Amino acid sequence: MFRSAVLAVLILAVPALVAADTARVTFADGRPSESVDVMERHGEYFIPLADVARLLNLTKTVDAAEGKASLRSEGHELEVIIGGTVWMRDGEPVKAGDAAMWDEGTIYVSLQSVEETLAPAVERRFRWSAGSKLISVGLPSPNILDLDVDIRDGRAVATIKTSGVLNYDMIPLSDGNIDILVRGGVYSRALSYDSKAGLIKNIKARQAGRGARFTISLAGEGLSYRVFPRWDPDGIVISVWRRSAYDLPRPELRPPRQLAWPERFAPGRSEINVVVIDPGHGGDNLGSIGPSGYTEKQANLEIARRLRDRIEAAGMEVFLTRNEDVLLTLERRTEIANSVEADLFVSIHANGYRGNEARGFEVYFLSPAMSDEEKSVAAMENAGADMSPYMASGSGDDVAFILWDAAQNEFIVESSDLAQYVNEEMSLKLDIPNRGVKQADFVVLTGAYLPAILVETAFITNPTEEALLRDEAFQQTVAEAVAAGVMRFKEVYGR
Amino acid sequence: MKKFVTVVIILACIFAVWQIWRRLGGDAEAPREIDATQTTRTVTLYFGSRDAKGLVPESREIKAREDAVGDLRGIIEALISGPQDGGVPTLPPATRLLGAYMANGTAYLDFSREIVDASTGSTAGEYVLVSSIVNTVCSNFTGLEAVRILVEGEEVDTLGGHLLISRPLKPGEWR
Repeated sequence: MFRSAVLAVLILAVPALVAADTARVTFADGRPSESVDVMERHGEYFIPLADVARLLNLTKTVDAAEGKASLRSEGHELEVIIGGTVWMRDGEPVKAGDAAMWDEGTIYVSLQSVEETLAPAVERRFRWSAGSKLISVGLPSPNILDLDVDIRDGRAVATIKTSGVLNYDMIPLSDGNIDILVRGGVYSRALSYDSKAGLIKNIKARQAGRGARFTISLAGEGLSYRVFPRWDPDGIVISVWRRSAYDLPRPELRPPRQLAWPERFAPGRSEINVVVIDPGHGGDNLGSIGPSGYTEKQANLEIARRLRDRIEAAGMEVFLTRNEDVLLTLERRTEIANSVEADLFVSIHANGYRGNEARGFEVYFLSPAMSDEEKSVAAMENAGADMSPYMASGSGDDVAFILWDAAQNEFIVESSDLAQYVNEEMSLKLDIPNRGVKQADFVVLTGAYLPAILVETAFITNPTEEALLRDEAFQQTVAEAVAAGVMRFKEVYGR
Repeated sequence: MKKFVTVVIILACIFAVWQIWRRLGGDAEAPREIDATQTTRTVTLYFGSRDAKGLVPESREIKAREDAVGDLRGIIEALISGPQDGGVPTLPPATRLLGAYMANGTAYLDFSREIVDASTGSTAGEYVLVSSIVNTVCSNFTGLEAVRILVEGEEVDTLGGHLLISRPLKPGEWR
């Protein structure tokens, strides 16, 4: 009696749903697509619960007296409580984004709640795109298997276990927490973690439009963390530790912000078809300036365009990081290379120096990652500081680091060959001094998970070489030499 | 009497803290040529070569300071003042050394903005600048194996946009 009264109050309290609309439904299991009625209220779309049950093949029972409905799948039962934002899944409360509503004898739930709470709770896949009013119903095989948090050596190590290597974006949130969007990630069961005392306070997963989003809440300030991939078994590792008092200048291992570890990782590459050419500097960043005022950014772009034409003529696909006089961040340049899944990255620069005597061309590739000796030295030097998570022997982190390191090294061997070929071709075709193949850590080459080189074409600060850099014939010869080096690399490494 | 004992204890504490402070600050091996009777120290500064292919050493007498960190400051200031013997200057003359300290075999040098602003914006310029600092520091202190460069108290990835300097810089890698 009391509950009925509460329900009556709820019913009265719920404002009427306003605009009626329809949404298109597509099914992954081969059912013909159809339309369903949806209602809009304050920009939020709602769907009758009965339709949800039908679309997702769930058994629905309504207990009007108790003000709730229950949906049952093979293994789970979800109680949707009318007017409540907390529902019950197998007897445990789960938070729903929007309250379920009662309107003229029909229970409505917001499509967003269905996507984020209801469907995952009963192990169903439901995707709502408000912009196109499209519902996708399907049961793709889950590729996120488990979430595991391990506390050891004063660290909290969370592992998102995946089947296969999944790309992810790490998004540091302004409140100090971390979001990890696993692209195309689908989890098989609701995943979460809660701790009263650990360095990781909790982890919440939700199925978002582009994949699975994990929000990792850290316990307060003064914590450091790293996110990196793990292979075989595959996963994404989040390692959190308390920063030691003496921790300001830390060795930067730069695990990438955004990873793309595609099949390139497998030994031997299948094809080398996509090249990203990066003309250095641009916009307000002029680069070096010649004695008569010719700027490095101009020379870089001229040569890069000619190089593009040469490589395209040889049948490869080319992307320029910039094709006009604009400034890109260094991160953006490698992001482009990773996002177009390029096979090679070639950055074009002109050199500069005080005085006007320095001359010649040189080709750089990334320094090899730290040697074992350096690693152990770093481990000792940084015991308790940032490096330690990688160094604890036998830990999963250690394995992940070594794998990451090995992957880096694989690219470095290829990068060094590419640098060698390009240097040899330039040496054959150019009449300026050859300063050789060199190794250094370039900002623009770190985070490029592909063979990558940086070509210093000539010294713009030397008057003779400045004149050459202005000269179209020289620009063309440089482009042809670099292209010839790239083609040699393709012959050796391509299949 | 009681007052006197308190004062003595406080003084003893201050002395102990000062001793610890001195030890922490000066854990790199003391300069080789330093001598209590001498007021100068002979150091080797590395400037750029004219062809940007390497470094040019230059011997210089600098005023000996009371500890290793003081000497480190003196050496960097001499490097900023530029070459006197044909090398190419590396640090812009307007650069100021805001702070210097040593720990675990690494020298931490905190420079003013000018080190970035006046960077020539080229690979060769940056390379020679960094290697001149690293080699100058490590060759004058046997206890120092690496250098970290900070700018205005902040760790930076790069000075001029080319070379990554956010890991310990060692003379073997910066020739």
